[in-house]
Amino acid sequence: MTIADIFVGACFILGAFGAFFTAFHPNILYAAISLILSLLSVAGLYGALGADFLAAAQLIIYIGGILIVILFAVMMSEDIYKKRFFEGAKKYIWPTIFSGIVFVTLTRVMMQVDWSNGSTPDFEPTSRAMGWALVGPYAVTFQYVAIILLFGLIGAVIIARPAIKMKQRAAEIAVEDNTEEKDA
Amino acid sequence: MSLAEFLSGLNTILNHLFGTGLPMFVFSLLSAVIVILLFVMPLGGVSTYIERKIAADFQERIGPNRVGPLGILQFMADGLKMFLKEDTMPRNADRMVYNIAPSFVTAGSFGAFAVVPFSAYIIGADLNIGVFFAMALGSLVSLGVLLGAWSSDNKWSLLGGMRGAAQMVSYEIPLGLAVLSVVTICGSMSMHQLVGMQAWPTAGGEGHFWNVFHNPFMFVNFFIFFIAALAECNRVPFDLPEAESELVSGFNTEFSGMRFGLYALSEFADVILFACIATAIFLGGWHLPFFDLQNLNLGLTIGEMSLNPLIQSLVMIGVFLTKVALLVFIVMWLRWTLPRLRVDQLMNLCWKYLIPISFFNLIGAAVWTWVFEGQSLLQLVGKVLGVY
Amino acid sequence: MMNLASNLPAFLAFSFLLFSFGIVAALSRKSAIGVFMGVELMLNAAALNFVAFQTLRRGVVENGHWLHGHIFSLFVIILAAIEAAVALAIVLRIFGNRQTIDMDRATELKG
Repeated sequence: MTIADIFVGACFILGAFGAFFTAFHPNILYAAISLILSLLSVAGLYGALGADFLAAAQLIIYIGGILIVILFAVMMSEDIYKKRFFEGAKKYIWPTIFSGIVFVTLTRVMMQVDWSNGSTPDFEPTSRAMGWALVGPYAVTFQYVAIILLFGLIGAVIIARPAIKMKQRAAEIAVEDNTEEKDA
Repeated sequence: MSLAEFLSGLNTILNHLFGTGLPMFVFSLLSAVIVILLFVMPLGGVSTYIERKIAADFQERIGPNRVGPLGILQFMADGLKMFLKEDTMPRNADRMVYNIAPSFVTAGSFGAFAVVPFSAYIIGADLNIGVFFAMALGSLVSLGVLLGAWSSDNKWSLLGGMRGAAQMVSYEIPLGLAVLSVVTICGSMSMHQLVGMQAWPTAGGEGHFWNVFHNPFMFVNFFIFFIAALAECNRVPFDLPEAESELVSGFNTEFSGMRFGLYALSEFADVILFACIATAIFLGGWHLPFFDLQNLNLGLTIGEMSLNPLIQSLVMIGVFLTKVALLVFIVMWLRWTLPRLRVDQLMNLCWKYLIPISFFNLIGAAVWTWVFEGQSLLQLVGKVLGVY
Repeated sequence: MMNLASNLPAFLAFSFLLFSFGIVAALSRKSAIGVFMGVELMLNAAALNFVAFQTLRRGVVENGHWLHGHIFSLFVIILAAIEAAVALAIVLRIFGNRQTIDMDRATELKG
C-alpha cells in the first residue's frame, strides 16, 4: 500500500464520481464541472503511469482549452435553470441498461485473460522519446493530424458564421446599386 | 555534511517515523501545504504592500506608512481584515461554484512554484517537464476566472469573466511559443538544465550566457513572453477583465473577504511566478556574469562541515530574487503608466501580431541552432576574437 | 489486489467505467453539449486504456522500441480538441436556427 497506490485509488474514486455526475446530473453546468474533475483524475493517472508529458498535455489541452469551450457553450444553454434530480428520468432507462450491458461484457472479457506477469515498471522521462517518435515512425500521421486540424478550424469558422437571409441580402444590394447610380 | 546529505538524512528520519504508506502520504501533503502557505502567501502579501508604495511613488504621494515602520505591516492588517469580514454571497448565486472558483485560481498560481529554481540546490521538484508543468497549471487560472464570473449572478461580472477567459486562453499561445524557442535551444524542459546552460562561457565550458542575448530571435521572444505574461496575469495594459473604471471590478465584483483575498493574492503570485520563469529561462536564473557561482569556495567551515553549499545557495537566491524584483518592479511601473487596451485591440494584438512574430522567432531560433550548432552570439564573437 | 499502481485490470476496469458513463451521457442528455461531454468521456477512457497498456505491458524505458500507446493518446487528445471546436460551431448554428439546443426536438429527419 504505497503512496502511488493511494494516489491511484484516489484518482479512481474521484474520476468515477465525476463521470457519474457528468452523466446523470440535470444541471448541465454541474455536469461540466464534474467533467473537470474526471479529466483532472485522468491526468493524475497519466502521471502515475509515467506519462509525464501526456499528463501536462492533458491539463493544458483538455482542461485549459476544451473545457473553457464547453463552459462558454454551456453558459448560453437553457438547461442551467432546472435543478430537480429525477425530472427527465424516463430518458435514462434504456441508455443505462445498454451501458450496463456494455460494462458487464467488457469486464467479463477482461476477467478471462491471465494478467499474471505484471510488475511495477521502471519510469523514465518520455518527452524525448515522444519527440523522436513524432518525427520518426509517426511523421506522416503528424502531418495528417495537422491537415485535419486546419480543415476542422476552417470548417468551424464557416459553420459558425451568422447566416444572412436572402431578402436582407437583396435589400443590401439594392441600396448599393442606388448609391452607385447617384455617384455616377 | 553537504546540503544533499542533510536532506537525505532528514528523509531517512521521516521514513522511519512515517513509513511509506498512508501516514507518509498525509504528512507529505501537509508539508507541501505548509510550505506553500508559509512561503507563497507572505510573498503575495508583501507584494501588495510594495505595489501600493510604488504606486504612491509614481503618483507623488506617500502610501501606507502607519502600520509598523514605514507601513510594512500593512499587508498583515489587510489580511486580518479580510479574514474577519462577513461571508456574503449574492442570493441567486450558484452556491457550489461560488465556493470553489477561487480555489482553481489559487491552485494554478501556487502550485507552479514547485518548479521554480531558486538556486542550484533549492528547487521544489526538478521535473523534466519543468516549464511545461508551470504552463499547464497556469491554464487552470482561466477556468477559475470563468467559473467565478458565472457564479456571481451579475451581468457585468460575466462579461468581465468571459473576456478574461478568452484573453488568457489566447495569450497562452505566444507564451508557449516563446518558451518553446528556449526549449529548442536547450534541448530539455527541465528548469535545472535551462538555468544551467546559461553560465558565463569559459574556455571549453557549456555556458551560453543569458538566453535573452543568445540570438536576436530570443531577444524578441523575451519581450513577447513578457507581454503575454502581463496578459495572463490580467495586469495593465490587459486588465479589462477587472477593469476598475468600467466593470466595477470585473469578475471579482461579488467576491468579498477572503474569497477576494484569494483572487488578489493569486494574481500577485501569478505575476511573481511569471517573473521567476522569465528570469530562469531568459535572464540567466541565478547566474552572474564573470562569476562561476557553483564553484564559489570561501573556505568557511564549522568544524568539519563546509559551509560552501549554504553560502553558494544564499548568493544564488540573492541574485535570482534581485532579477525577479526588477521584473516585478517593471510590471508595477507599467500599471501606472500605460492605458488599458480595449478587448478587440487586445485580441488583435495577440492573434495578428504576437502569434506570427513568435512563430517566426521559433523557426529563426531553430534555424540558428542548426546553422551555428547551438552557439550563442557571445560564444561566436569570442571565437572570432580568439578569446574563447 | 491492493497493489493498484501496477495493476492493469484495475486501470482497465476504471476505463470501462468511464466509457459506460460516457455512453449514458451521450445517449440520454437533452442538450447538445451534454452529448458532447459524453463523447469526451469516451475518448478519455480509450486514451487511458492505451497508456495503461503501454506502461504496464511494454514499459516506458526506451530500449529500442517506441511509445506507441503514449503517441496514440496524444493524437486522441489533439483530435478531441479540434472536435470540440467543430462541435461548438455546430451547436452555435443549431442555436441560431432554432433558438434551442434541445436534442429531443431535432427530429426533422425522423420517418
